[in-house]
Amino acid sequence: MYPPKFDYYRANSLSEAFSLMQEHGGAKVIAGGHSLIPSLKLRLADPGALIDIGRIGELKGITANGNSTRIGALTTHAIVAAAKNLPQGLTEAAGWIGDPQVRNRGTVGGNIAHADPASDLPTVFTALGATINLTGPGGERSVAAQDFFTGLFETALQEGELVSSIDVPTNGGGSAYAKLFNPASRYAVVGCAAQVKVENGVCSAASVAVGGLTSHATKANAVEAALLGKPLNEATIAAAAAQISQDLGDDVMGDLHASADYRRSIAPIYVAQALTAAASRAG
Amino acid sequence: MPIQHIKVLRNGTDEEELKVVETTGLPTWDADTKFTVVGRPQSRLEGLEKVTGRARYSYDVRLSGQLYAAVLRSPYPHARIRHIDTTKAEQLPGVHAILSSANAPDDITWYEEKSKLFDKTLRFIGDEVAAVAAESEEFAQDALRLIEVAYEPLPFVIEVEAALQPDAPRVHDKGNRVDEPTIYERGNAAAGLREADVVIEQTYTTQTAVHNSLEPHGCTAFWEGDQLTLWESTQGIFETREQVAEKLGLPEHHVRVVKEHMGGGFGSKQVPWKQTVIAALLSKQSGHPVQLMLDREAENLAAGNRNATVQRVRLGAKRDGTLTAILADIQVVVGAYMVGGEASEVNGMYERLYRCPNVRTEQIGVYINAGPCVAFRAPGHVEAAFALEAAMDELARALQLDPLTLRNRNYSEIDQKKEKPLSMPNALQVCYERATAAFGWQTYQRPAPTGPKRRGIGIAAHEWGGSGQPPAYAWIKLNGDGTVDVVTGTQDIGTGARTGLAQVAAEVLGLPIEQISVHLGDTAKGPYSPTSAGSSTQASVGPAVFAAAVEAKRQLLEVAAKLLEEEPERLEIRDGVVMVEGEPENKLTVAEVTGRLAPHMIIGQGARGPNAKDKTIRTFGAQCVEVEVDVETGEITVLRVVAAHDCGRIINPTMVDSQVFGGITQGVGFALTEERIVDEKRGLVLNANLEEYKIPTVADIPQMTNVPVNLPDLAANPTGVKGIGEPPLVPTAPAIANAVFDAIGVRLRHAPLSRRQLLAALATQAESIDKSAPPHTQEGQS
Amino acid sequence: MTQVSLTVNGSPVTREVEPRLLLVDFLRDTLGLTGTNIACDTSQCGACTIHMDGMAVKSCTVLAVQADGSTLTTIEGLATNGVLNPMQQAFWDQHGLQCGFCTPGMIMAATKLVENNPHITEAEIRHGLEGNMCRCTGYQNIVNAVAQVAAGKGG
Repeated sequence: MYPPKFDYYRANSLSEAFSLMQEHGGAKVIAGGHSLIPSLKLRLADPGALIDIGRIGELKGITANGNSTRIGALTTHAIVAAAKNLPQGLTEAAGWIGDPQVRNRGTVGGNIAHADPASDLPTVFTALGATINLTGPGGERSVAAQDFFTGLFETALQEGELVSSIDVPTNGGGSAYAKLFNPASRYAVVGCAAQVKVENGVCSAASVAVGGLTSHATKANAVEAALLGKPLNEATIAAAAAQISQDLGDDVMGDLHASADYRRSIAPIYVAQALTAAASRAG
Repeated sequence: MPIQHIKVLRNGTDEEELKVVETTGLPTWDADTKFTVVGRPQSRLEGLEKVTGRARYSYDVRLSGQLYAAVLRSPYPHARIRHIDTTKAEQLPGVHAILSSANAPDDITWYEEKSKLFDKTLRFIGDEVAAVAAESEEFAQDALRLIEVAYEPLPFVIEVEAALQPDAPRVHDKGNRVDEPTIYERGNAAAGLREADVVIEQTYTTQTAVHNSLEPHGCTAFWEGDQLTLWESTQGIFETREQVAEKLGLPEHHVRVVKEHMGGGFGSKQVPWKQTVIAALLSKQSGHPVQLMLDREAENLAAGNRNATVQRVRLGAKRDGTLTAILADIQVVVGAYMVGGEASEVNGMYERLYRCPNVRTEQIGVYINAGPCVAFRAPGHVEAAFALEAAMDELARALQLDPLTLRNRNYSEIDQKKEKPLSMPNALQVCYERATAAFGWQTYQRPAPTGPKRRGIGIAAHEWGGSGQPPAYAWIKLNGDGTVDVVTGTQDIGTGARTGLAQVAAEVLGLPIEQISVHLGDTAKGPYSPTSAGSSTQASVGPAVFAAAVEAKRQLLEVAAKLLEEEPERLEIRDGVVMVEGEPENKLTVAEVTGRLAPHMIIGQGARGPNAKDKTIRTFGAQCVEVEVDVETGEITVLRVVAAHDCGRIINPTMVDSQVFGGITQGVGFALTEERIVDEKRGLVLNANLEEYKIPTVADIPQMTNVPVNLPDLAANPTGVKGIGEPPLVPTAPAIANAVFDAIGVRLRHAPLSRRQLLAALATQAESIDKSAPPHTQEGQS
Repeated sequence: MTQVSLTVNGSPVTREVEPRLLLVDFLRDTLGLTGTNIACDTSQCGACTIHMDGMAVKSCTVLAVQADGSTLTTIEGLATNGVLNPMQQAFWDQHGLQCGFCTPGMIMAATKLVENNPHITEAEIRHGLEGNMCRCTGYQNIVNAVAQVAAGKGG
């Protein structure tokens, strides 16, 4: 399998990237390439030109800043998985993406810009209340993760913009990620990220998102509402997890690995798993 | 030792060989023989090449001026080519040759003459439409996109039941049945059912599975004048030579087939496919060497698969478990063509495994518009075991007997089809005993359920051939420095044949294995050996090497006897030294003997003799598994597998372990995840890749235990070896299915045992889940 | 065409390549290093695993132009001065191979696994090799081989 022909440009800085993007309309941006190169090889994309942003230093690294940690868009999944100052729900999700070799090349920014509905990180960032920072020739702007993922492979990114970093709050309580793997590709058939706070024995804050089920990562508002003010135990978690069907509505997708009905029926199990683990980490 | 060629006229039965070799007078390795090399875990002779990346596979061949070829394949499950125009592709720089129905020879046929090399009628997605040879694979792929084809889509059929309807679209003009049904009956099966106290009647289905050898099919073709050389990824260099010579109208000595290393061969490489001849023709047309490797998609679409089956099984038994009838109605879904005329023999295990006077099997092959099936590791037996061994488990439950007890109650010590004794009548019993003892079958205590997780155990057995047979030939050359070249026209398909054969030669010659080289995989350099299929390489070629080594040793000792002024009968060779019995001082090294002889040399020729005629030689095995089932998600986890397989004498225990572990692993894949999925509406294969077709990874596989069963079978050959390549895959899937039933009380009769199927079955039998301990009927357990 | 300069198995290499050339094809076809294999082509099987700047990566999903300036090690460069890397030796000793097609990628992945986690457990070995498929061995002897190296290094 081979990609179609394309021209290749390497940007060594953000400003160079923007001018290249302006110069080559229709060009695709490549970082780790672990979403784009497979698409090219399958000829699902034929962009004519690639702009390699993989070496732009401004987009790399993890920096803690008070109650939030900033992850540069070019940070690989392997680095996120090994990071100490990030919510556990995020590090464990990053550690379950693909396999070690894929995690060594795939980048966080590339992953969320691709917005695969079965991808893990969109779900986690949505649940953690992360902020996606975008940069373009006109400057920076920020979008809440739950507003960033807008549809099947669709995001709030506009023409000429790049994901520059993700700000992840680190004071949101205990977090966890649970996932039913697609046995072959290891994407999520169902993924659930949860973050909870427990005060005075009851849940004082809860944020839950699911992926793999609908066109994009979805916030589970009904599940969250069912948790607030409750002690977190097997019964309350099971009852709250059952609310996921309300959050999902009729939009659950099916494919050759799992029908919509199957996904819908097992979703509460993974919601409960994520909540149970998050609660145990909530201190 | 006299070697005599005897011609025996073929009389139409499979009992007669056209040519046999008289091998009487050969010594044998019996139970009392002491070994120094055989039976030890010798590391592989070719291991160094493989761990350093130096091992050369077909697609590693790089010749001066070499071109790369790619194949345009049918995008339709059934279509006719109205028009094909390759003009634009021809004009692409770097393109040297294009073949299609427009210019390919019209007289080369394939698939039992049902298709031309490039046929205008396409019968499955992936059928060959055109091929291009260009200066790089990228150019070749680009050129394919410039070929313009006008297709006329035709009605197609994917589902076996639909294919058997009278008004179904016809895959071939004569319809969708491959042939008349194959019917076998002994006794009176209907009467046997009437006699029964308990009857089990169930229908089981097995899926289309894809071999997915890591190295796809492919070859590099190169002409020097009228001499064609093919570096082919094949299980049979001589089979390939014969077929390619026939297709191209060449004398056999003008075709040379080479295979140094091969990235896996599980049956689909036992025959040459169209691409081999296409590569040869592209090479001829372009005047350059041409390499044509399939990519993963083509490999999964058009290079063979394990046929799906539908098996309606009826078992009848008396209260005490004695079988009164075995009946199986079998549909084998062969795809669009028969490859080499062989559909897998699903019926055989029903006829052989259990003692039963009344047996009837009926098998038909059915064409559909999908890629053709071909032998896949223990063809027929994997499919049959999934049904028969589950049905036996169902029968055991119905009779409230331990599944092992039921099996032992119906143990067959003879070949009931041929009414001959088995060469090793208790081999399966030994397998049962060793597997269940190591597993702890009798004493198993089911752990209490934890949350949604339930545990259970299952057992299944199998029988298979693997005796090996003639013809196979080998030469042993003793060099002046005492080293040895073993030369034979077999091939090492990854099993370690080089090592196993070297161990045989080293043992006979009394030499350290470091002094042995094995040369194989080249039709121009070694004498005929058969295709590596049917688990027969060590059992077919090993005895030829053995005979050649015995002959070389005889000559060596004759020379040594003269030098030592002794009688040859008093000499023996140990660790490279020829010594006189009882006179430790009177000795010469082998190198001293051959050195005195050089440059004259000793050449031993050996041939594989016939198997014993008065006995039936089979292999057997049993596996026990423990699984954990998550009743919420439907996930099945295999926790442990214990296997015991009869393969005659064990030459290299680690290599046998390797075969067993590899077989079990493919069995886990077959049981749980592997399935070619076709969209019936469009005929599209949805998972012709490894991204969506799931083969087991290291994380899916538990610790496995192989309990050695070392039962030399001298009816097979003087080395006592039988095959182990295929059998270990056979019992795994039914053992898993039986364990799942044991865990949750729900029977899954369709392979693979998907999460969806399990949850759906649980939902319809919801009452079964409520029982905290499902019925596990073990005799003698309090 | 784009020029790439990189270090492969200790030697500097400069070539003109098409931007679409995959790194694995650059190694196999341009440099003739055919030990790195292609089996799935979709970044599942790991047969194409090499070390790129000290990390195990799947070279079927990297463009040669992305590797410009990088330091690569392939299976051909793993032995030093004719002495096998302990992982190569262990795969050979333990029968961690059959057909050998997955072996180079498996060894390249495994060397990094043990290097990054010298006291690696069996469960960690299995998790760490999930990106490498083998169709022959059933993995058990591969796990044993990796464990042999870990025992020698970390034990």
